Amino acid sequence: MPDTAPYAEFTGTRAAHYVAAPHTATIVNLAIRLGRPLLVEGEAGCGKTRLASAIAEELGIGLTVMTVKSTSQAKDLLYRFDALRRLQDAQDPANTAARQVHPYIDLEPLGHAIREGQPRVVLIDEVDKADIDFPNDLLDVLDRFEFDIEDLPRAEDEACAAARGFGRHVKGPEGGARPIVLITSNREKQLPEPFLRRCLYVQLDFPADNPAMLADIVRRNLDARLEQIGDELITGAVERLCRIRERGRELGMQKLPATSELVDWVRVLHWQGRKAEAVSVDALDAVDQAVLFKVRQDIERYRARTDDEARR
Amino acid sequence: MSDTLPPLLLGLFRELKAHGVPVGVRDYLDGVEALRLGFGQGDRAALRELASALWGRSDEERRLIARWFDVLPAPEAAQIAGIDEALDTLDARADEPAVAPATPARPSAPTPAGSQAGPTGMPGPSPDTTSTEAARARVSFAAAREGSGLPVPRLASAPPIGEDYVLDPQPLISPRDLAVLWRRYRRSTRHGPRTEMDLAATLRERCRRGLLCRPVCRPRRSNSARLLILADASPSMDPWRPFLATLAASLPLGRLARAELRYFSNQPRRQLYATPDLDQPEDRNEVLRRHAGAALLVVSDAGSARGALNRRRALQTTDFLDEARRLFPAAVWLNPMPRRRWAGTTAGLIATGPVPMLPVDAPHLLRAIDILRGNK
Repeated sequence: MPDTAPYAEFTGTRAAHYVAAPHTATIVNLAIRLGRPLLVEGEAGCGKTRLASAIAEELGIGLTVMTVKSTSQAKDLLYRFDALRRLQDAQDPANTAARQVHPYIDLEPLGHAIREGQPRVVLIDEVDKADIDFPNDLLDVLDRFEFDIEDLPRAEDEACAAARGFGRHVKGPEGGARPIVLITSNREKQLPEPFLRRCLYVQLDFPADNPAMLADIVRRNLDARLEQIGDELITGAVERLCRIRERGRELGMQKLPATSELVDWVRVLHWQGRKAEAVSVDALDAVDQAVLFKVRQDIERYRARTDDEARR
Repeated sequence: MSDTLPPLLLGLFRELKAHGVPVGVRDYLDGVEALRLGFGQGDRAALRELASALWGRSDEERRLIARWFDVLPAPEAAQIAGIDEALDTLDARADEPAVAPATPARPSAPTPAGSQAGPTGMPGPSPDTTSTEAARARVSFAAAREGSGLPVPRLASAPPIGEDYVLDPQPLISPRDLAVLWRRYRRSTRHGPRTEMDLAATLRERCRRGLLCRPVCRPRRSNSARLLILADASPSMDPWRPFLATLAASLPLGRLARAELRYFSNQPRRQLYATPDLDQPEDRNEVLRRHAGAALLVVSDAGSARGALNRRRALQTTDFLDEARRLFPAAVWLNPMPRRRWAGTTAGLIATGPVPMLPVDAPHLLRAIDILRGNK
């Protein structure tokens, strides 16, 4: 069984800017205790990425974030071999360092996290953006938390271990802790079945049925100096956003406003000195629309619907 | 602490396995470990959440898990309460005069003159069907009034089908899996501009001249595999329209040197079309000539969806394939209908022709790619 003792229990309520639903916290704990990566999916703007920082903050451990790009390869998360610099150095006959490979190899964040074996949260953000081979290449690493530096010749194994502290085969120290691995996905591409099998899965939903939790989330995310924002404004905005979402769902909107839009909106309402009661769901002004909706068709659809109702 | 799952979760695990969900030993052990660590304790909802987090990876799998918990008999306390409630309602009903059921289920389905024989696939109810059997019947037919046409089907009771209605379209194969398949179809060659450094040649140059002026470059290795897909967009292929759309969407992900999808109706005649709605026609021979040397993939049910046998169509299609074989070194026919439905239809005749015909499932798709790569 994986060594999971160094991690305390995650409650989901102790982070300064984040509130996790109880069942999300349970699954996070399950992933930590079983030593499995956690795949996080959910609507955009519901705090998939923020969940990682909340875990790190609450458990008092470090956070490593790796944002995946469409050109990312699994190797890029582990180490980097600077071949160009080596070629450049090799032009100088006096430079003996260039005769070896290991001075040009650097560990990347995930490689570091594996080698250190310290309690840590590793976030692999937006894994679905990468090429379809990417998750498969990561499988073995996430399973065993070991990897090989394939660019390092076997002959340099010992020299590298002496000079850099890691050999060709990189793994954590005896009795070290496995990092907590979170992987977020926006479902742009389907992930391979073996990869899904290795992960635990949690879906973050917008807590529309829990206005108290939403109000709490807003309160925690407002800047400290905005403390004078009244509770009426927050609860009013939460109630109206839920109605806007309901209507948006009826209209089949592409991107419904979620938690991050809600926080922005409360901030804007406060700056403008408006009251939540003054906001009518049927007549959102241009500023509100700009904050809440992200797709042009959504704005147009919503406007057409409210115009329709006004005419009746 | 035991190292086996409690019967409830073990049953679910077996159910998942029986449905082809690839849960393994590790998932089982994780379940045992999670219970040992105190997860999923308390009520059934907690257990359900645990099972879903551990074993559910797709909407379909989560639905299976949800159903497993839905059809479980209620826990004892709830069961007793339920029985009491049912008894109360029975007592209350005994006081009232008997009321006829809202939709009486007719035991027999009279076949009115002029209509075809009763619905196929339905066990024909015998005239002496008892009332209990009638209650079990899924669909009963209200007696047709005199002079009216077909009988009106009525659902007598909730259908006792052991599964949910899946109303979301489920893809035959995902775009991802298709893209992976296309990537297996590779022909790696070097061509194009010289952009990649040739290390060996550079070193040779350095040794020969004694100094390095500039690195020697060579063209990058890339995939030169080409593919032409001809897809049948006739009405009998309508159930596979989403599959054809997936096919079209997956082609750009396949990293082929060149891939094109063209449509035809029933059989490739003089013209091929750019869209499944048969717009933008182009001369067939023009398209074939343009793709000469590529691999050819034909997707069509070839009459097997409707079970039609048309010798003329089969002969013409075979002629076309013979002709195409001259331009295309490798060709495969994919037929989305299951193989047992080919016999006795046009598809059966074409399948005996020069081009191998394969059904659309994972192993046969792999085989198809293998043939396209040149492994006969």
